[in-house]
Amino acid sequence: MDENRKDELEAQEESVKAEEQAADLPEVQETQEAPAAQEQTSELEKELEDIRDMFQQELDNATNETPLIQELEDISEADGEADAEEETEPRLCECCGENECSEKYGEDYPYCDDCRELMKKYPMRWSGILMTIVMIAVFIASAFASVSYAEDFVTVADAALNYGSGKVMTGMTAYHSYISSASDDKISMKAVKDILEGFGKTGYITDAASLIERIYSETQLKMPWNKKYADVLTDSEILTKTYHKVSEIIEPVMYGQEYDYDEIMAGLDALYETTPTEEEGIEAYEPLFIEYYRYVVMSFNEEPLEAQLEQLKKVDEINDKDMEWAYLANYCALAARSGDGELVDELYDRLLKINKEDGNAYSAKASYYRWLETPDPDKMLEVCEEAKTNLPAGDISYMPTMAIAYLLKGEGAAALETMDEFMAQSAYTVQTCNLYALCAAYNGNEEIYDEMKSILENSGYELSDLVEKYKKDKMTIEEVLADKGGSI
Amino acid sequence: MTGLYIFLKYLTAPGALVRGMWEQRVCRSSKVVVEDNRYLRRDEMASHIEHELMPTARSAFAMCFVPFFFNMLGAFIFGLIPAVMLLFLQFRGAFLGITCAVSYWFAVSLFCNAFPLIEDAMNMVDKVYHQGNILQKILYAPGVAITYVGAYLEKYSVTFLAALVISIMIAV
Repeated sequence: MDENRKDELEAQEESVKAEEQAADLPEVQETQEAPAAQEQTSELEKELEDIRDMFQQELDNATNETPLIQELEDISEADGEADAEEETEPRLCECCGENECSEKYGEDYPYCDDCRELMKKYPMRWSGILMTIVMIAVFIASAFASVSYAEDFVTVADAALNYGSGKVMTGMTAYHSYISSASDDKISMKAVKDILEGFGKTGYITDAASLIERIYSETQLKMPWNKKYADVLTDSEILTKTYHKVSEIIEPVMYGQEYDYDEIMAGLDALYETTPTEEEGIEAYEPLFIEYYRYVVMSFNEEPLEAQLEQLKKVDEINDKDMEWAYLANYCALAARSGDGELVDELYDRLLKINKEDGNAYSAKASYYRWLETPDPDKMLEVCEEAKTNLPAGDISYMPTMAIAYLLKGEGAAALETMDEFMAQSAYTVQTCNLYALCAAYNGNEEIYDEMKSILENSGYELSDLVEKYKKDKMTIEEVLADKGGSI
Repeated sequence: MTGLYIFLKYLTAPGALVRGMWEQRVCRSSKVVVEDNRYLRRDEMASHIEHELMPTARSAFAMCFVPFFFNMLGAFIFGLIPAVMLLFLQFRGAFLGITCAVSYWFAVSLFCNAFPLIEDAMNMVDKVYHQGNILQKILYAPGVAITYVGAYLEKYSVTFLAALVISIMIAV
């Protein structure tokens, strides 16, 4: 134990000596390098001072901020005090500022009971009531202003409804009678626009032009939204000038004079190359008219059906101005004669889309069923019924076709009755007189037969051979009605 | 979007004033507190009055449907003559033109302010379908559907656009 204690003391003495040696060493160095060490010490002291200053500055800043923190603390304390006061003092009504807020409707309810009751009866503002009165007054004024238009309104509304539903002719007739009597400063522009469109569809292009000149001033026609009406004026001019030029060329054909077919056709073709005169005031002749009148000449010259059809197809192809009125009905009738059912259907739909009241469309479609190898009178009657429904009141142009259908069905009495009604309301023509006579012959009615024969003879015509042959039992009714010559 | 909404409310001020008037009328009938009865404010409350929420299914429905119904009825009545005479048949004439044009503006403004505030519409749905009886749920259903959808359409100014489209369709 003592030996251990002695060892420990020795170890302690050695470590102390070592420490003393270590402590002496800088002193030796200091003595050796005294000026450099002093310099280092002063630098260190300076750095320490800087650090101390910096810390002092931070400390000062922190000390300066203390009032802000203090303020926050003060505020929260004040809030606490205010809450405490609120707990004790009652909340006042936001409306009157005098009474205590009611707590029946929630803790934070802002109004007192008295104000709440009053606010339920918040007075109505005058602005709403005044505006209602003004509205009623203006409404009465507009109604009063409209009264003077009552008669025009009825006419135009009726015409507009008819026109809008595709009954173009009925609408146009009503519009026409209205526009011819209406004063320009009170006129319905809807009527003007519709009738102009209708004129375009039905080919009354010059009537359209004169109406445009009546309603629109030159300045108005220069406006972009009135461009289509300005175009109608131009088109009208072109079509009129072209028609006059073409008429000069085809005059011998139209008036049954002698003519050279090739020369006439060449004359029409030459119009493509001809520049209109300055007097005419147009840039070129209308190609659609030139081609259409080529068809007219072909038709008069009895060119093959296929060639005529081809010509009308060409006309249809070059039509870029909605000028179906010029040729489509003829095209459909020609297609019916040729027996091309698909083409008839297509053209029939197009015609009715433009004008549901186009009697030519129904006539062409019924003729197609008549001239089938095996005629279909039931289909003919269907088409006639459709025509009866859609054609304007008084238009009985479907009746002869209906009579033919009855004859083909073997219903002679119905055929004669139909023709009786038709002849009572229409002007006599060669075709209708022949048909009436045929119906009379079918029913053995000599009186009507003789009357028709006499009427035709007195007018410089003769009863058709077909009718006479049928009367003499030389032809059947089917054979007579299958004829496409146009006498019946 | 709010700017456009407020602009259109001012453009259709007559209808906004009438709408506000009907809302206040319903509040008075239902004995509901009205906090601000300015009909045309320069914020999202334009054409609506500030009021406490309607307490019952019936009053909540009335708050949305009554102003809607009367504004729509007014729009139809005031708009019928100008729509036919001015837009459809397009009659010329200074007196007719002016009176019909103003009347049509009234009609459009009533149409554009027919629908309720979305908050009122939501309160209506909540009250009718959580507090209303079965009869109310059935009877009010069409009105609830129309006014609820309409409230959103009006918020995004679709009603004004619709009025323009309808006008163009009549005129063309």
